[in-house]
Amino acid sequence: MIGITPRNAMLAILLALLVIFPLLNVGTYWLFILFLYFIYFVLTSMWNLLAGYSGLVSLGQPSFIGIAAYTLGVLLMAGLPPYLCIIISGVTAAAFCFLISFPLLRMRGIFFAIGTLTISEALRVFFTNFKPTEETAIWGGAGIPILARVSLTELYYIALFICVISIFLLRYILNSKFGLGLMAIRDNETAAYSCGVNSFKCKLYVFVIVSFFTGIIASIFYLFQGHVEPFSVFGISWTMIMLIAAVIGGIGTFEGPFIGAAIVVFLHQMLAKFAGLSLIIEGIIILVIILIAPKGIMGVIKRKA
Amino acid sequence: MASEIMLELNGINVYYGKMRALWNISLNVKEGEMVALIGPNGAGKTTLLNTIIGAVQHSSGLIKFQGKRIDNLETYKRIKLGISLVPEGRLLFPELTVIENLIMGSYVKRGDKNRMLNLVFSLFPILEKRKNQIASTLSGGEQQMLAIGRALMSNPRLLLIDEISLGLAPKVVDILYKVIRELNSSGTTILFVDQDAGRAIEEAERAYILEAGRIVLENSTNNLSKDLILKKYFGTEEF
Amino acid sequence: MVPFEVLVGSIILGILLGGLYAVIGLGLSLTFGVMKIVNLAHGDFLVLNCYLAYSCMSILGIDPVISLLFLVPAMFAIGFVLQKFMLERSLRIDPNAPLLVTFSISIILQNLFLLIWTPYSRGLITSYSLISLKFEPIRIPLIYLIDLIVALIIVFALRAFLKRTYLGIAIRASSQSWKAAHLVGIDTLKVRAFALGLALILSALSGVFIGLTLPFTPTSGVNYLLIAFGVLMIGGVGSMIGSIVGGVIMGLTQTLSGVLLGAGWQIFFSCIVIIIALLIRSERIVKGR
Repeated sequence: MIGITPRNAMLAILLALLVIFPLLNVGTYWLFILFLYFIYFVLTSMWNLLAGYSGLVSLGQPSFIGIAAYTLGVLLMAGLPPYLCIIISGVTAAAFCFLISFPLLRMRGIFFAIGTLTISEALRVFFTNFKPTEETAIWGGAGIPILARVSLTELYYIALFICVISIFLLRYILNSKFGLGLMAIRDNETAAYSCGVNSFKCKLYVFVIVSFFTGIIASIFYLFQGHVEPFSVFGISWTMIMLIAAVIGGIGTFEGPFIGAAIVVFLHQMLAKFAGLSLIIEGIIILVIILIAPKGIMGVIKRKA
Repeated sequence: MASEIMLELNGINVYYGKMRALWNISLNVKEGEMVALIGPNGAGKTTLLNTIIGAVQHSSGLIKFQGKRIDNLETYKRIKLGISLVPEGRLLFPELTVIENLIMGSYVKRGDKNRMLNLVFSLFPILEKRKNQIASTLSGGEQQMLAIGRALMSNPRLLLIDEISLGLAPKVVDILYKVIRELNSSGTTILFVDQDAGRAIEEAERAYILEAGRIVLENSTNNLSKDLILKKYFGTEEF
Repeated sequence: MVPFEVLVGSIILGILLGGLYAVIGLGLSLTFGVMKIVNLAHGDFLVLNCYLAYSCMSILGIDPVISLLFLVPAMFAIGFVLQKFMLERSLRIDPNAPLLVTFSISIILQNLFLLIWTPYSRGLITSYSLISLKFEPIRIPLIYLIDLIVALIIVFALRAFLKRTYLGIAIRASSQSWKAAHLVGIDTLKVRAFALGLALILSALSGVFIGLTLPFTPTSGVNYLLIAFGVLMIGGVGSMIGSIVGGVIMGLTQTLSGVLLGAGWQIFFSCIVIIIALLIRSERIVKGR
């Protein structure tokens, strides 16, 4: 299992600090910042697992975010308890992923990216135009309210919990034969196939796992947000967050998302007042990093080592 | 005959990553000669030809063409100077027509295009017949003819041919060698590789034997017998 | 239900628009065929030309078609430089890196448009862009006919370039075997840069005429990228006839869904067409190239 090393001891202390943090009464702002960090981290490390480790560049993660968020809203309106809703939302996102996997995973890299983007856009436009009831029309497009009041503190702990689970899961996957198979597929699918790696099954598993966690963490976020709108849940800004965090931190590295997510949270807070400019600046940052330090911050650190 | 040395290699070393493919290769080809490069699979013959044309980078050594150093030049410059390679596996443009493939052969030397086109068609009439056909639909022999034709379009003084007969029927190989002999007698210098060592020795006037990246023998083909070569291939006798 | 004349009118407009859509698709096909890169900013470059032509018109009073005189070389230069300095580097890093690079460029462009020209939809309105021709109960805006004619001219010119010039054949050759291209002395880097420049020229030409025909907003680029995907998926890479067929199908999808369900649904049906085409093609693509 997990040995008692200095590194693990430090991590345990860090975890303990995070657990105690809400009790220190530092104020809701900082609680929110950490909460946001957990959300961004899970999204980014899941995207990194897909793109960085498995070679599946998905530009359609918003599909799962949106489907999970809408499932959450609808189930809450039906009166189910929030925790159950979160889980079911994750499952729904994973089920949708499973469905689209069959056509999508047969396609090569570029077409997979196009396919995911297309599906995401299709969902966005669908929900924007689909106005089934009077209530939904009020929120613009098929917007729905989130009928649950869960405190930020509670959400903080749930997000932290999911965060920790995803880290252990990631660690487990990457150290297993499954993870090795994924990386083999990323590097040379034909070669991997001829070594007996069932590339379709591997890709299916990772894609579904990623979509499940993406859905869960999205539900947690939207429980905080309070309402679900098509342009928000299916928006390309989510993709930008994952992209920039993963690229800055270092695509295909384990530590990358930790750093990347932190930087993105920080960036977002800094750029909040420059509404129009912020995405431009983020785009430029991604370009600069890809061209100058393509392995991100982790790449720079590892080079110096 | 004081023939000019057309091609000269001196101490050429080539690495693929950490693996050494060519060890201190030195050879020369005189103007108007027809020289064969033979050896077992993996000996480095393709690597050698690719290094001469510049498709593969050498780590040390010199290549001189007509007395001028060319190993620091880009491929297209070497083509301009008059070297052309018919690569192993033909490397045609599969979806282009026969004539488009040929035209690409004159990409670097456009002035001679029409003249060379006529020459290629006179050497390989079947290509003219099929000139608007897509390259990937040609037979193996026709594809090899097209590959040679394309290499000829740049009007080379030195023609490098990698694996002339690979996968081709004997009758087709006969036609190919006939054309190559014709080219040689009208002045084109030829350095070629053939898996069929016996045939290669018959056709060439001189031969280099390459093994595991080193030249192990060089001689005029009069002094080489088939038995000797076979023994070398099967490693039962040291030279 | 929708009146018959409107339906027939939509079908005709969809077909006419198909020409321009084919050109948009061809631009994407050029870069994809030659470099195996999908330029995710393709649609946004098209819209860039719409906005530049718009500003030329509103500030300098220059007709959009005239502004093509400097938009075309400008776009070529941008494409050439973009390939040579950014995309080549990213290709060497990772085959997927260009996706991320072009994605970022797309986001940058869209937000630049938002910043400079606001979210309000705009159009290139000239004296001739408003003329309608009447054929019994159906009215067809003249601009759609002009669009088709221009599109056909572009397609034929492109075809001639790709089949009859050294550079054109070299572009096609490089997309089939860069090894062989290198062997005959083709500078594959220059060819790729030229191909992107050419693709952007196509987006300049199609952009201006699209701008004269339909309104555009900062996010219209996504719509045109999807249309280009659709054309590419339906028509295949590098096929002129395929692109025209693809263009017409996408055109019909747009106009018919717009008229039957409303403007908001057009993108959705473009997506459906793409997904269907992707499904059909995925077999061939996985096995073929």
